Amino acid sequence: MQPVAAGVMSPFHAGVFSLVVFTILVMLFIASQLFLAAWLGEKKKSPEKSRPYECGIIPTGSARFRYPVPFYLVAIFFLIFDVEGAFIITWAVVYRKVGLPGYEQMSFFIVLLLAGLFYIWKQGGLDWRETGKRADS
Amino acid sequence: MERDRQASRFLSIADRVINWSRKYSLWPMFFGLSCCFVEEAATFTSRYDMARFGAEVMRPSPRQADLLIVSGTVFKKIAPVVLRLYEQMPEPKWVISMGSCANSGGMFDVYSVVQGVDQIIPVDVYVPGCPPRPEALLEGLVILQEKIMSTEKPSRKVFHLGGGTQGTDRPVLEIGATKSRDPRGPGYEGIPIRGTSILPGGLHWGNRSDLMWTPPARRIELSEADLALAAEMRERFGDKARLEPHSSDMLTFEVDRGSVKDVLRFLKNESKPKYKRLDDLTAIDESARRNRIWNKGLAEASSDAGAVESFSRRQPGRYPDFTVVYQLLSFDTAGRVRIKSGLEAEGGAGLPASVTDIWPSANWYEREVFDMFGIRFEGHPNLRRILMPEWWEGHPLRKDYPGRATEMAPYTLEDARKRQPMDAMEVAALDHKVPPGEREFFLNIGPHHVSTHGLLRCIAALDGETIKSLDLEIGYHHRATEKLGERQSWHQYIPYTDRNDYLAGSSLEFSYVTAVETLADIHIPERAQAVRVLLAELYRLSNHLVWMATFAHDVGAMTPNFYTFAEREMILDIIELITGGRLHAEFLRIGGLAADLPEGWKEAVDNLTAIFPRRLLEYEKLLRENPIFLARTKGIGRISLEEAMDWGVSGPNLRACGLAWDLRKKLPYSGYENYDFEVPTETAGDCYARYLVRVEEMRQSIRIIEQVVRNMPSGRHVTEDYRYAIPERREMLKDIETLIHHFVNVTRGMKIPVGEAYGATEVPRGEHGYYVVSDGLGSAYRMRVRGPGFANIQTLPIMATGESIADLISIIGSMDVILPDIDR
Amino acid sequence: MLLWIAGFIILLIKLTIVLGVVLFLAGYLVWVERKFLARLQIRYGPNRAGPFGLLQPIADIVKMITKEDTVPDGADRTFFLIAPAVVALTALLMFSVVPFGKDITLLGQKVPLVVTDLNIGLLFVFAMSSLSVYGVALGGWASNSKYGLLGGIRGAAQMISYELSLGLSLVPIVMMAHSFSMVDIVQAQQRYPFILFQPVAFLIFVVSAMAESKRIPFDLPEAENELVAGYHTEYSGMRFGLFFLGEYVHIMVFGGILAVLFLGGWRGPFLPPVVWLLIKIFLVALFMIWVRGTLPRLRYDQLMTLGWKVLIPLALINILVTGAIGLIFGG
Repeated sequence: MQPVAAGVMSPFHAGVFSLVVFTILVMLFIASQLFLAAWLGEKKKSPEKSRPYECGIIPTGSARFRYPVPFYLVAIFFLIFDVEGAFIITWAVVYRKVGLPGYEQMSFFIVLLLAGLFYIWKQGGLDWRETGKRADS
Repeated sequence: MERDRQASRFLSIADRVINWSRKYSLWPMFFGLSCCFVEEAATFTSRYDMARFGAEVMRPSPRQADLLIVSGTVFKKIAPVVLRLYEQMPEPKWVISMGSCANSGGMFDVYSVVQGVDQIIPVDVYVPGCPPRPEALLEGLVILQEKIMSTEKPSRKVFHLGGGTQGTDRPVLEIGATKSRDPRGPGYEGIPIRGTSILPGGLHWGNRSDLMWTPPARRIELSEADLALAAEMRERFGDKARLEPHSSDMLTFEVDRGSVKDVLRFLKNESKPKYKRLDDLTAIDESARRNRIWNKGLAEASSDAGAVESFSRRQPGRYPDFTVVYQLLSFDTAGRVRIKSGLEAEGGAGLPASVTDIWPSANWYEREVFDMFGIRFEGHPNLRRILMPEWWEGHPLRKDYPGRATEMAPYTLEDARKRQPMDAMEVAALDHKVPPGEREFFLNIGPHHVSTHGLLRCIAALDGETIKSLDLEIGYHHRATEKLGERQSWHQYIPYTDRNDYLAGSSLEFSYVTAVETLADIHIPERAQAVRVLLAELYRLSNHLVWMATFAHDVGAMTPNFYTFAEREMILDIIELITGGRLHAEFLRIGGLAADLPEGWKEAVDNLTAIFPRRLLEYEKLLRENPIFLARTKGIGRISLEEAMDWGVSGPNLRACGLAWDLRKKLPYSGYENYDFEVPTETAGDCYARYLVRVEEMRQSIRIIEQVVRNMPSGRHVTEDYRYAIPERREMLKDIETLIHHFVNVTRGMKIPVGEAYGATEVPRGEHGYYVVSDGLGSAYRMRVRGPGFANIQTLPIMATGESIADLISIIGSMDVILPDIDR
Repeated sequence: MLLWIAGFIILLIKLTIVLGVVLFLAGYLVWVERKFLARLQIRYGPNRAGPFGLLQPIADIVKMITKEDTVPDGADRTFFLIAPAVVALTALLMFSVVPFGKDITLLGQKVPLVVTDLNIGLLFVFAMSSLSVYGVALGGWASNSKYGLLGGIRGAAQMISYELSLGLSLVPIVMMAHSFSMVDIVQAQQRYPFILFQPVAFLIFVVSAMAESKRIPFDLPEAENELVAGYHTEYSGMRFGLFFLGEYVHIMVFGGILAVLFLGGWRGPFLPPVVWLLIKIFLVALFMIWVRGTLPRLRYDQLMTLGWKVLIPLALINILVTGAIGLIFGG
């Protein structure tokens, strides 16, 4: 058996083990809440009660609708930038070690990123109010 | 045995814990119907602070609410919505019925109103009052808390053990079985309800008003410009457009049905001056006119036969079945003109032509006439009901239509389940004449929504969050105020006018009494005039403070609400000191005021004017200097001046487009010409411009109030012409004639001479006018209410199409809409 | 082995205390908010339930737990039922990397006063905060309500607009601390808190984190004036309570992370470290409540504009400047 005061399973080390125990605790707490929420309290079903709320009116059509494209466009930008953000973040930890050459390369990368951002900005990729008739606001 | 006892002990402790928790965590639903909701909202603000009881967490969604406060009038059109919201609340739930309307229909025993919400949902606590004061609502809450603590045993239900009680357990009441129809309560069967006996003549013989003599209605001298226009009309249309010889208020023509459209087009585009705005379009059902078939005997008996004759048409005594009335307004010379056109129910020369192509705003007006009278308009794009629900039968403003709800079949739970509001897609299809696509995403915003400022239903077709098209469905707040005007005596109607715009109180009484006083030619003492101005301006301040609070709330700022309501309470205190009322002052009387100013009024008002400008500046800076607020309002919801004039927009909304049109300046009344003030304008026509205009208006109101206080004339507060006024008590006790006048005017009500007049004042929302038609009786023959909101709200789709949902909310907020003056 | 068991018990006690304190504070944060907002608004706020209304949170929780739990027709039951748990879970887990004091020694072993000192602590925070949007988006979508859907979409849109600037704003901190570990970051602020070196990063972080926590002026997903209650329109009882709880735990976590990253964490004179951390968290929470009481709400596209067109470029430039200065003066 491993020495208890060290290693992954050590209760004295604030490592993954501790996190796992904490997660289990949190989950137990939330599960208890969910269980209580579901169990306690009188249940009285009625057709009106289970109808989705829409300002007191019977809803028209489905509440699952296709969202227009701009949203996805921005989501894709986000994805791209997020991945590139990952590069920056990894560089940040070792920024002292890689020194000036690293900084030069990274600043080139960031400037490129900025240029890309300005490009989609100019192209209108960041305008969500695509149909606003009075778009000057 | 021991276990049972332990279990029951546990349960009783659990009962107490659960009840205690629920008692202090009654989250009310954000739900209001009408006037009462304003007092409910005040209950949450600083002075009353409902939060102390843990009940300030207003939940807009029924799912998270524990308490439904039914605050206001339950209309038959909204009842299904109320029922649904109640049923969508999870168990346990409680209901407080707030105010006379929700309790029993209150003063609105009229066709469109459910006579008590307990007919459709169970009620725990009734809070009396019209509207109840915030303290009363607090007491209602405390009573409910006590009820929870003392009578409920929830733990058996909570732990699914069978039995136990929680939430509302009272039954829904049923007319005839568990509830009496008589608004006075049980035991009065057989005694007629007061007021039914004053039906307009024709339906009711032997009215004692005929025994009273009054001088004929006021007759105006036409100005030169009017005469010139009349001459031009004669030249152009010859015999088809005839000048009414006797008019009490404005130039009036009677036009043959076939020529109405030409005349209107001429007046709008060519005449001098041009009458650009369609002020109002309505109709009168003439079928119950007393002298419809000329009764010679009656004419001779009645001493004001002269007046009757000059008013009745060329064939003496002959009224058509209906009269369609158009009222136009000229901005250039500040004048109005009225066009009347007769209409026969049977035969005749076809239907009247729709004027929607001349004024787009006529769309709703013609729909209203159709709804209320059943008159069809040729060429109207979408002629269907507007105020009454689609399933409604009959046309309420026809004389043969019953006025009272208690004369109709009772509204039951079953009705509330069956009579659902129209489907969003159907409405859109009817309004646009094109069937919307299957994949269209319709969102109902309202009638129950935090930011529609009442029971307004917006149906938005969305593309993402952008509004592709917007349809409005109104009528959820139709309180039948026009029908009531035909039933209540001239004086009795005053309390109803307050409720036509529950935030502007006396301002509306002001419009109404102005109309009646114009018709009967009553002169008001100077002091009464000044007090009227004072009250109107105080209410303008109070209204604009509420508007500012709700506008800020609509764009997401929660705190201004509490600040402005603090000053509003100060204003309401003054109003209460003077009138005894808060929301509804009911203080103006035909011929003057109900009472003289009380002691100490001056100090109270001075106190207000001293601190108000500084406070206003403080609150206003919170918004004006906030970049988020600017971003949310600047450039949003624009409307051009041209459009605004075409659509009949009035009030601050019009002035925000750049036109300094204010009745107080343009057509001064009640001595406004003596006060020094400015009419603020802006040119942008967007939400921010509307904001600036209203804020500046508050400053101007303070200026007016200061001048009124400084120059308050002394003298009488009510006219000496006791034929029309309720005499001062002091004088009443002195001589028998005044006593008789008092008796007659208080019991039977006074008589107003045959004729018609329009009176309007600049209320906080714009031009609010009353068009009163008298048949020489103790109550109006026709009471037309021209609310500014009806015209203003029609422009909402223009402003909001192409903007986002968030913008729609700030536009509605900036427009300062209120439902009773839209739906009336 | 015995030591392990003893250690495990200590760990359990520690973690339970942490969880309990966080939940307790979150509950009382609601009370603080209601009281503080009331004072901002010239009112008293709750004062009937217990002295000064101190029992108010208990009343609310008991009421919510004993309330009926409704699920609308057509809702995706599974997602609908677990969505609130996602929000609460991620918020609570985020707190696990916040250190609240120096190590203490028990049984001859060092007991660290942090739940977990992950060497990627900061990234863990990002991961959790991104995950929490699933609760919002799924909850909104699953409830088969249009308002819920719109709120859920707004939540997702908000996340993609602010997650980036949130991450990028912290790159300079990592550059200065050479580590993602929250413990190391606190260590690095032995002399001065980072807020003095990185005011721009601080501002960007505060704005982005407020957007992440969906509070005014960024409370678009629930914007009650527009979307009724947004993504939680259809939630009742304790399920709604969990969303509520998540929001307040989120505020606490935000306060804790802000304290760790910029305000020196648990460092401070005279008082014990835990107290200092709590004071800092409390001040941040008060600030958030104050903001809520003051500002209006941004519009959807304005929010996104602020994120993409202001904060992200600013954060990138801040990285470049920090790098340059660090290389020139560093050593």
